[in-house]
Amino acid sequence: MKAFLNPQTCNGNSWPAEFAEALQRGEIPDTLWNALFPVPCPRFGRMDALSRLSLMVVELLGAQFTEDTGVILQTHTGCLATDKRFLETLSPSVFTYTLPSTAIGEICIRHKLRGPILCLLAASPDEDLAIPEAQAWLREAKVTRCLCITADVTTTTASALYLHRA
Amino acid sequence: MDRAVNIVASDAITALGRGLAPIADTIRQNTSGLRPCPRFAGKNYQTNVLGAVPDEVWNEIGPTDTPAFALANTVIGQVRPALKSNRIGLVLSTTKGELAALENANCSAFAQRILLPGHLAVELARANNLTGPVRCVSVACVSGLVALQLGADLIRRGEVEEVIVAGVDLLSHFVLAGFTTLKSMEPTGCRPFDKNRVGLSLGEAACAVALRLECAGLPALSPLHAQDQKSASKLAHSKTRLLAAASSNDANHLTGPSRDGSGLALAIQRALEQARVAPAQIDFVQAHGTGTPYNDRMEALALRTVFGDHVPPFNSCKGMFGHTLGAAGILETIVCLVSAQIGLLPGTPGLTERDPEIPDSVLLSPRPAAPRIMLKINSGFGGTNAAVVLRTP
Repeated sequence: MKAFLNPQTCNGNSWPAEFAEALQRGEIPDTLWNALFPVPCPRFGRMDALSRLSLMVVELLGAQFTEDTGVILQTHTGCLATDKRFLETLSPSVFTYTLPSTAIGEICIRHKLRGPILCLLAASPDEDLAIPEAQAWLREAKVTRCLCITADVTTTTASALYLHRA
Repeated sequence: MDRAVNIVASDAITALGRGLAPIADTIRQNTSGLRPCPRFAGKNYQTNVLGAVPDEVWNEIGPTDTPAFALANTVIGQVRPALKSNRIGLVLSTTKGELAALENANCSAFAQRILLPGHLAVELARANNLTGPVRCVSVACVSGLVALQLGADLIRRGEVEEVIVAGVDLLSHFVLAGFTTLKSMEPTGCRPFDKNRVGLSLGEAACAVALRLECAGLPALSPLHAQDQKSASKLAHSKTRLLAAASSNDANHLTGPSRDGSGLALAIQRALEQARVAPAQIDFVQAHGTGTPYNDRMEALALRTVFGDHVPPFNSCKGMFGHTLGAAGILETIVCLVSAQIGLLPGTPGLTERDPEIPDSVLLSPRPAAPRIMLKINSGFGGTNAAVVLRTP
């Protein structure tokens, strides 16, 4: 099961017209979630861009997850944009999002996931670290299902893969 | 073949100074390295009582606009000679890496480049000729234990026979301002598991452990008994085995721990199961013990869930050098190793009056013992929890 999004498309479909311009600018509007998904996400408005991207791409999978699902997030630029914003605002609500693994926390809260977790900071946007790691977790019976996410704020791109043990 | 993974060398730079000898002394004396830090005085932070790396260590390192790189490079360089293979991996654990460069308008191009922790890891590998796989892990305060798990996994999977797992996080305006906004710091120094605890104390550290596959055919280890006597930076941990490591998420709250401790209990149970160790076999637990009211209560509940009425002796070493964030899991694992080596379970600096909600096996002061199987646990923002099981020879 796969999903992806970028500034042009959302799982291969065009974005709703009213959001296309903002997404081209790298912005993820507060109201985007409700335009895309039937089940509301009250926390979406307070999230940083990395959490929004990650949560949206997981929702696009349309999957029912089991509680023991593992979660692996790979990101190149992580929460650097949020770090800069915190230095400008010194706001506690922004500080909460100055860890890239906060995006995993948001996914786990929404989908009630309590499996193992890993957040990898890749040296290049093209590195392929998360999927081989998830496949190893499945092979080693660390998990029976694993959610694998790649997200980067600077390019407004994200992809998600839900892997099951054969 | 059982691909067992041993920790064969370690090094650290902390508020206590350079190397493991100051850590051993601090365990023996049950003292604290938390002090008012002039670098952060008078700047409207909640406190400047911190676990700061001493000035004399910074003076030895010399002027640099990449202090995280400099400290991590130093400790990696200290453990590097313990490993012999041509292809050694690196797993770096950090939450903020070289982020302080963001606050320095005049920093070098190199400092700008390693602002991204993934690049920091690559440059550390390059500087130490580590040509195996390079990973950078950032999972809040459990980063260090997750990095140990990943390092051991790289070896068990046969990707590489030797890995250095390093952690680094430094005090900065960013970190102090952040925790000040959360009002989570203890003004006079943390008091883990104490009845009157208020909050945590931040610290900074760089630390590294060398992991090695144990199997026939590999060259014998040359123990690292303080080869470098000047800094007394290394002690041998020959054949301390990293039995297992596991993590979990609370799925509950971003900045607060789950009230029932069930997420941490889950991580401990997973690690024990993987290690094939029963709770009754654990001789010592080194807790996260930040000193915040919620964390310490949550840990007590998690320990009772796993161990029932027989919680093994446990401590927190946050009072020794503060909460070192992304370095914490590795540094505190090193404290476990040093404790076993000197035959003392460490006490809990800062703890004077135990909270009645905390199990009475918490160690106020050091206790002579020869722990064989030890458990190290951490929890962090984002509802993260992790546990590592270690076995001494």
